[in-house]
Amino acid sequence: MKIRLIIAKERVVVTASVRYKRVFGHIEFFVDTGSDTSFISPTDAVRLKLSPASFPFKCNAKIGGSSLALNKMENVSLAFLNENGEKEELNNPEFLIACGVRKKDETAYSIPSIIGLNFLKEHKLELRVNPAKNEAYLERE
Amino acid sequence: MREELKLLTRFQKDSEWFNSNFDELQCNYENRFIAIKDENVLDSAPDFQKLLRLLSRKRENLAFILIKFIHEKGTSVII
Repeated sequence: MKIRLIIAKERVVVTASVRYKRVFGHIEFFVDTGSDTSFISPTDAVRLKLSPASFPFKCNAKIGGSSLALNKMENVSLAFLNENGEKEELNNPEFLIACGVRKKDETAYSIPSIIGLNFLKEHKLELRVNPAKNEAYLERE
Repeated sequence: MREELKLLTRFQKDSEWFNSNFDELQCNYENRFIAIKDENVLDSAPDFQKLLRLLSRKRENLAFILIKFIHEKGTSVII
């Protein structure tokens, strides 16, 4: 199974549908192997009408000069498009959601949703990136 | 199920379109949030909440709209 990624301005992103209870919507995630956590950003949370403060606290994170509280959601399903244009659903017993920002500037508001190394490890996904060929994908045997 | 797949495919195309046209978008929407649907800019605003209000007035379902902030030229974003 291969999930195609998009190489965007020196970054790698992937689009996914997110389902949590009755909430359903789409998110563009940055694939960031430098991050040990995966989370839904404050702006994506607002867009999906999720209320981050209603979930229990998990940890703090410092990102791009902003401090974020990450709260814990349970049983979140992420679906990606595979190489055949079909849906690949990955269930997450735990997924984090950023609980807003203290600094109300555009930098804080432009923090993206992130898929980190923990997600790749948990779902046994291999990341392959060839920027010269504009090719990137996640693969699982 | 079929509709879900269609919506996700559209969202992915919007993300690809944004990234392919980033330089042109940066010229027109520097320091603004933009909303993208069907490979078009639906609306833009300097403020995230203001953009959401504009989209709500247009009765758009925010859950399926790609919203991006366009940094000014020469800015590198390091997460």
